[in-house]
Amino acid sequence: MLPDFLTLKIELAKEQAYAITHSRSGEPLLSQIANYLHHEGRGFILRREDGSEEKLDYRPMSGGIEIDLKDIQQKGEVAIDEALRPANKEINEAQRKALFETLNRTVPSLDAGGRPLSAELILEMWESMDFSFDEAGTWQRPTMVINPIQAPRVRKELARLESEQSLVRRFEELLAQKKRDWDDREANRKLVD
Amino acid sequence: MIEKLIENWLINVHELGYTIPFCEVLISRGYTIVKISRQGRGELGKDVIARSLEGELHTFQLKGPADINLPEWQRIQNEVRDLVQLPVIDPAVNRVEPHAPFLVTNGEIVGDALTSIEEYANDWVRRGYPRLQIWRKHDLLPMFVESHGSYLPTALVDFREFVQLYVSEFEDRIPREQFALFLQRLVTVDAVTGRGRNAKRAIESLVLIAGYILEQYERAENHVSALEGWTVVATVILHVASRDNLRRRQYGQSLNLVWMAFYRSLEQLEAECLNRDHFIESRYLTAERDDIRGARTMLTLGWLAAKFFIDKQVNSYESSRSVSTIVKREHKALRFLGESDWPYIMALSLFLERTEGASAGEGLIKAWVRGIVMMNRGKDSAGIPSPYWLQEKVLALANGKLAVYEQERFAGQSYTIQSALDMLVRRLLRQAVTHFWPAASRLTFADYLPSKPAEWFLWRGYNGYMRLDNPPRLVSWSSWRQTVNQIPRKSVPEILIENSQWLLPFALTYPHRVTRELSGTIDAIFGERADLV
Repeated sequence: MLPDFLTLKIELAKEQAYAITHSRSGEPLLSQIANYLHHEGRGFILRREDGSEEKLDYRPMSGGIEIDLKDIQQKGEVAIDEALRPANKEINEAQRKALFETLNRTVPSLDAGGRPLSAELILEMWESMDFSFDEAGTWQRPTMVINPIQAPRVRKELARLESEQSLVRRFEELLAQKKRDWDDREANRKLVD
Repeated sequence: MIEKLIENWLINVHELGYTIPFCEVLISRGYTIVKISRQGRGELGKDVIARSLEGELHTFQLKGPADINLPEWQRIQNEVRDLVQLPVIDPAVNRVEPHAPFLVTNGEIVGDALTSIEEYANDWVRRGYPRLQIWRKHDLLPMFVESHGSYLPTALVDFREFVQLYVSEFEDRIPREQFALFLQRLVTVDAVTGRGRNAKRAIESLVLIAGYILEQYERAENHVSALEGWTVVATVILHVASRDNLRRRQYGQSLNLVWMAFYRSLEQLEAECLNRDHFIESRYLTAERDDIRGARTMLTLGWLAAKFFIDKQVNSYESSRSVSTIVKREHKALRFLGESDWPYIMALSLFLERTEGASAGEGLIKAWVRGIVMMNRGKDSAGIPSPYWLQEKVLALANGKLAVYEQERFAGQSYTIQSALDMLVRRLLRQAVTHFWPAASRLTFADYLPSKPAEWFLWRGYNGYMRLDNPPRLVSWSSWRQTVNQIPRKSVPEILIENSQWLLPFALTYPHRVTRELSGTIDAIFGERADLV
């Protein structure tokens, strides 16, 4: 063989593997989800705050990598980066799919009954949810996941929420109520007899 | 090739260093060990007393590694005379029972020494004493190799791993995970075919192989690494015993030997600590950072506390006062680095509770809970490294020496806060629990539940489940008390409770195995604060 620099290459390969499995650039939803590494076992038992329990086995999520040596010879390391990108995309796609499967299974949904997306519908949806606030009492705005086609409409309806007096008032009332609910819930973190 | 390594080890090890491996060789040849003298102080010239397969009593005096020449023979003559002429004094032996004496050396007998020894031996026989037999290096080496049977790490990967461990930097921390995984591979189901008798043989070989490595940590007086190493060996034995349903007689002698080696290191650690007036290590002094000394203090005090409870199990209290002095002197240097420190905190708090009063022990537990809560406060908090991160790795992270791909998220989870809160509940510290609960209840309580008893003793499990518990906001004090005051015996492997002297060493060496239930078991057995039911 020709001279090689194996120790360094092993380090670089580990960094690349980490990037492929952890990079969330261009994935605003996935990037907000915390990652925890489980070091052993075949799955996990999740017990929720309400006492419900779920036992899940780990599922492999992988992406294929195909690198043509001729490409490396012609383009240099750019060919490697290009080959890695689809693997990252595949993994992110699989994770996104798993996320929605979980959300569909565990989070209550609101049936809009065929109505178009509107500021009123957004308020209605928020009414059905628990809001979170940080330690300073600032509202942690929920993330909206939409089809990109709907983006202009959502932007317009959100602008209505902030400008139309009746909607602003309704939202402020909702926020105040949700804050009271949150305060009640947090005040309930206690020890009783 | 591996025989060369064994030979290399054998010709370099001092007599105390090869006592335990030599006994393991005897066991593999059918002997039952009756007694091993402590710290190499041969009693009446006898370092080891053992009964052969035929039931004969054999006594051994161990020497080495230097060759025995005439001046050396003249120096040790009285000890050998005692070996031959004095009876075996041991409660398990009738003092008139004849014994066969052996002079054992891992060196050679050179020059006129052999003739002189043989003349003395003939003279003693003429005077009615038993004949002295001699085992030299060239007798010992085949015995050692033969004892391994087919359980030597002959596969290339295992052999390379063995060589790496064999030539480690023995003044550094022992690589616990690497050592455990190496030993585990020597006794996999595939390797130990036929179970039963083969498992016994595999265990004997395992102890020998481990001895070649650990003796070097002992020689470097790296006591804590030696303790961790022997604990790993015991844990792998318990794994095989659980997995293959072995009877005590199939692994008990080897486990007892490992215990002797372990306890010898524990005594040496205590002796060293009592002889020092600080915990500073002067090598690379400019790198002696507070967090490094903090980790050293945590490890050392934790093991000293464990020794207190181990001694207490056999009713020996002599060391508690002097250890208390060390703890009082050094505790200010303690640093909470990661959740792998939890078993040390637990052992120390139980020790303080016993020696300094309840509030001293409770104070440490409260400080631990407060630390975890603080590390998880705010949305940008870092959290605290999980117990899968041993002290070495946490220190590397804290000092910016860890590659990005090795880093993890810790915020929002804790593997130990629930166990610590349980200890406060058992001590009826309701006010403290009330104070901590609002912040603690925001965390996910995590730990790993191994699938079977045997999996508890593997460094990494593959069939169990992580338990992720998001606690309810509102909790009942009375039901919490009920839960934690009775620890289900079955929640921890029975074999570990049967060998409870290994409980604390296991917890200190395998911090990621310290589940809520194991913490409770430790509090029940050593803190006497709960019942095992």
